[in-house]
Amino acid sequence: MKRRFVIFVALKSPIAAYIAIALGVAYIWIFAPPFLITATFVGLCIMWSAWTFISVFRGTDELNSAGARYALAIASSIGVPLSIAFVMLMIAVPLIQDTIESTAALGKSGLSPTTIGFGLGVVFTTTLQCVGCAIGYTLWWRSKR
Amino acid sequence: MKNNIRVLRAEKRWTQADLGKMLGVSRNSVNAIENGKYDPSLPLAFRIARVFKKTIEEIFDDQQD
Repeated sequence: MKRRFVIFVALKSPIAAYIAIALGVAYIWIFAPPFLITATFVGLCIMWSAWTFISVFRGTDELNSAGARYALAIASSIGVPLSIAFVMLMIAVPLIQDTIESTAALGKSGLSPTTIGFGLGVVFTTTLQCVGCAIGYTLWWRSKR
Repeated sequence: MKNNIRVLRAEKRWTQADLGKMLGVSRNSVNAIENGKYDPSLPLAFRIARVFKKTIEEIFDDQQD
């Protein structure tokens, strides 16, 4: 039953798409593929976002729509404060700064460490939002079963 | 909010999936509404009433919260 629930939430929520996007960003950052591949990836991400928006707010299944809105609310209420807290922590703890710098140096994209650092920040914030979304979606469906 | 959708559905010998199809919602939605875990929107409540040829008050009871 638990396994079925996990599969159900994974299929219903956009978690799989979020993971794919995170992997795609990591691939582009590490391997710096040709522009066409990067542009196709960005295009797919935009199409997916548009489709998600339409299906959430124009979907016929109102329980699923309500669940998605609940998950988005949880995502922002968890993701934004945690992101801000992490920035404060990064300023206070030099070890975190060193880790970010050494991680940024691993990339082969040829971008400056500042740009990569900014990109990592965006990915980090998005990841926290995704985690919040996953938690929200799981809580929603748990409460409605 | 309590409701008697499960009883009405059983009388018609419909499955949750059947009812969901008629209402344009998922089986999960029908299940959550039947169990009183989700209160449907007013348009959906009207659709439910129409499907069973009853009034909303005959199906939903807001006195038993």
